Amino acid sequence: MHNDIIITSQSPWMALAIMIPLLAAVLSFIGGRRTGPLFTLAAMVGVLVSVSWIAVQVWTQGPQSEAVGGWAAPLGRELYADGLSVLMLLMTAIVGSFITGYALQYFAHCEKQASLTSLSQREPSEVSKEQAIKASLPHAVLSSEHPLVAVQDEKQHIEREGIQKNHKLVHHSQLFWPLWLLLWSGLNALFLSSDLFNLYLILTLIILAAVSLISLNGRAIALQASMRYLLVALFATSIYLLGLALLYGAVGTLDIKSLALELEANPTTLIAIVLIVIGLLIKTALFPFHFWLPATYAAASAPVSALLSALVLKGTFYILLRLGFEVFPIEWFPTFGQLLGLLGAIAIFWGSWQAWQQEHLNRLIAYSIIAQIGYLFLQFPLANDMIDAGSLMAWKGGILLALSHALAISAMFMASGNLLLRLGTDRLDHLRGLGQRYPITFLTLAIAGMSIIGLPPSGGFLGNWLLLNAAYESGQWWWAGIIVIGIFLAIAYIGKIFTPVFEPIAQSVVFEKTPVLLPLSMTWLPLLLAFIALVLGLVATSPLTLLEIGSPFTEI
Amino acid sequence: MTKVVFYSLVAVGLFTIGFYTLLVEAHLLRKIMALNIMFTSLFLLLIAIAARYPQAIDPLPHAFVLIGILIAVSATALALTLARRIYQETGQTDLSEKQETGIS
Repeated sequence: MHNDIIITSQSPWMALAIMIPLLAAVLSFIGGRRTGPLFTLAAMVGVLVSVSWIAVQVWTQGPQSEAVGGWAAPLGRELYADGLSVLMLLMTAIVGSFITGYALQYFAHCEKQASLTSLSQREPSEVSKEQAIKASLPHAVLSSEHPLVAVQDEKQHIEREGIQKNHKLVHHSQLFWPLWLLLWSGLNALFLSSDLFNLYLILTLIILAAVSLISLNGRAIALQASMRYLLVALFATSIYLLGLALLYGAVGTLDIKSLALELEANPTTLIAIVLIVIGLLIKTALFPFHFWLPATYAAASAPVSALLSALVLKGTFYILLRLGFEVFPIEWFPTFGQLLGLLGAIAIFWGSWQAWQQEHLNRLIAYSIIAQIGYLFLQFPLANDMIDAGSLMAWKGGILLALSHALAISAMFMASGNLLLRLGTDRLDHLRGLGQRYPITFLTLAIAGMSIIGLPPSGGFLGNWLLLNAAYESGQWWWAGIIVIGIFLAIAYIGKIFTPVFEPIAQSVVFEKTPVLLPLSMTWLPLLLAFIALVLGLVATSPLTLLEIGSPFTEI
Repeated sequence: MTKVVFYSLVAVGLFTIGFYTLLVEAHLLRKIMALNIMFTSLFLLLIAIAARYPQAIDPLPHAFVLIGILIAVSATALALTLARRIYQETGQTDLSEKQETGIS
């Protein structure tokens, strides 16, 4: 299907994009407490340089491939980059850098708060504690008989436990860095890989990192959420592996480019492909496989939810794109496309309805993801002809939606995390009248919400516009109807966040005792990210041209 | 060929047993064991596929199985650690909803 000549690159930049974060992860894990942010920043620079290098290479020379360790495609594990993978890599690098910056401040802030609370707990008894220690040696017998001292001892014991717990929290936040680097390395590897078994390995790596990240804040609810996610994800990958085994038995290769040439439509390959697709759909959380998503994302800390929703979901979606448009035999594609589109349409309705019913901001955002995932799958039925201009338009529109969703949703989770840090709750009715108090945070939510709804000039608008045009071109008007209804539903649930914000402050609402001052960058970084999502619609020509490099539609 | 078909069927049977247990049992340890049974059945399937041509054994699935075992072991280790932590924090060995709402 690729008409472009694939250039075998001699420079190791693709391998570097994977190895730099992996190496930094190992080093920061060994290096211990304070080295995490340092290694992450170093790895960030390294990844940005190597990804831009790959982007320039693909932009000027066309699709590139790189044989790792000198082993070529059928036996070795080849890395491959075209316009789509470059765009995904850039998305990961940009969103990842913003989240890194945010997480630096976020965890520093949590740490400070934890030490402050433990100090304020300790302060009044600090003096008496020292006295007690001094007194305990000569007057040991006396002090144990003295009721007051005994009570204080007990109190100190409880406080010490509290301090230990805070220390534990601080220690856990240090583990964020190696895990995030591991995740980053996995994502880069995923977007550069062109072998299905390799992808299985990478998916599991991503799962293990993601599960540990979710459980990081140590709360019971987060532990349970991460356990549920682990079970579901392992189940999904084992179904995927079952499909791979059958596919390998039938075709004898798992390399995407070889499969595209050799895959024949017969019952065995049909079962194999269906299993693979189901495994990936569970991981992508398309309706009806979305059940694990809301609880998991609402329970994790803000930077983690931002990472998972923006990047990890897009990872499996990327594999589905590759399989759908490059591997599937052409005679199945219309049926598969319509089926995926139908599930997407149900996801839009169901996710929007559930989002509208939520009382908590984090859960509302989590359910909105389900609806947005539905949008991403509308391109499959719309691009089913593979030859006309409408198909290319639908494909581009769907990918553009994925990009702008990644930018907007991570901005939303970060802004919502800011509110949670300040208020201690994310109940929507507690946001009453806070618009004046936290203008930047609500501005972030509003701009990101614009992109999620699809208002011009956001990237979401352009993506929807391309999908609508494709629906018009291919004469499938019902998908256009679903897109438009989905936009109105999104206005409803995004609007629900802002209904209480501009109301006057109720008398009964009690603000936090000491106002939490967040560092400026924690409020500005999400705003900047949301702003990028907003202007993506204006500057989309270059990403859309980039997409055409090595796209399955270049034959037009 | 019959041998290959036999082992493949056994593998599919094991996979079904694992899947059923994963869905039905609430206890986390049993769920983890069920996942391990599913992984093992996949390894069996891959080994059977490796022998699909009687004249020569295909070595590539064997490599897949080795990597698969690696993944299964690390995933199981993480799952067991999490299960233990959940038991320490909440005192329960499953993921039931009623306790969960009380904690948050």
